[in-house]
Amino acid sequence: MTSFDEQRLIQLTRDGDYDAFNRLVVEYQDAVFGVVLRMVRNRSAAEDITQDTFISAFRKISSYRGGIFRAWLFRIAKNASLDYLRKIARRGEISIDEESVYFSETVKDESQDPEADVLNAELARLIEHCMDELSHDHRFAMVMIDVEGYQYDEAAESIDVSVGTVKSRLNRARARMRDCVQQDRELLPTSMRLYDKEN
Amino acid sequence: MVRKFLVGRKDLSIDAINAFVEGKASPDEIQLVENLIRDNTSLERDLYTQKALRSLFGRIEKIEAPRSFAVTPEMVAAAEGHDSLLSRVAELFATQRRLALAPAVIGVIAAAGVALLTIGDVTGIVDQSSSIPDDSFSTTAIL
Repeated sequence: MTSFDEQRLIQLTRDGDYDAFNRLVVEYQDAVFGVVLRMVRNRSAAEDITQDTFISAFRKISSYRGGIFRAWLFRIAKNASLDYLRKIARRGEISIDEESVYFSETVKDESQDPEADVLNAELARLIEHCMDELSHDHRFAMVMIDVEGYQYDEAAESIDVSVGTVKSRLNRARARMRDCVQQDRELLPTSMRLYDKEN
Repeated sequence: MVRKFLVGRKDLSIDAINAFVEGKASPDEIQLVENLIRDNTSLERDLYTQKALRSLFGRIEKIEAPRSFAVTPEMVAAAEGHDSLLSRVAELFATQRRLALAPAVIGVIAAAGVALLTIGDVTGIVDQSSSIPDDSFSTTAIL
């Protein structure tokens, strides 16, 4: 989709065109759902938040003042995710799906070691645990930049802070993740073994 | 470790370190990181650990939406109805909140009255008439 098309679709949405808006939904739903799921780590909640994000975006399209449209969507999604996380924290609930670990499908050792699957599951849980230890701001920066691969400017626009703040948060998040993961370094596959502090 | 090391040269160092970890450092940034490492050897281990961690994240696949999140007029109407209901409930509770404050306001006024009477009694502003016999006592005297 070219930026011209996107702007045209946004303009049509302002005129109340659902079909135009839903083309934007199709374009960005994977991205929004991915970020939300990695933030709240509960599939059902992530679906609800993603749907609410798009409904809210449609209703508030007049408040979109330009810039990266996807970042504007991320900002709505992030705020909804934080509302959800605060709500469950107040209630003392656990958000994370116990049966689902969202990194296990992808962090695979290519050595074909028969024990690799078990280790990968453990590694995935470790990463999940370490991500959970991060503050919401740090987690969002890490999810946006390191996990989803977005640029600093887009992450900054999504969080509504400066690029420098995003860099600073990411720097701290990486340091904290490093410290956390190092506590169980033996779980890391040999092909991805972190730098050995003792050597 | 990294944070402690960055004091005083924060922005420049953070930019250089982030770029180094991401493998996007310019020659100047590499030089800066190498200087930082020379001053603090444990920083090297930290940065290579962060690089490995980032490469780990690089292997994570994108998540696909499990269904369509297309928006319909019914969804928007429902959301607007929900918001409208919420605002009506909020208005209702706004009045109740004001009423709920009444006991607290009365309490504060009563406490202030007692405090003023006590101060008046201690300082003698409130008349404790000498016409009352010494061997008698009445709280009405302070009135």
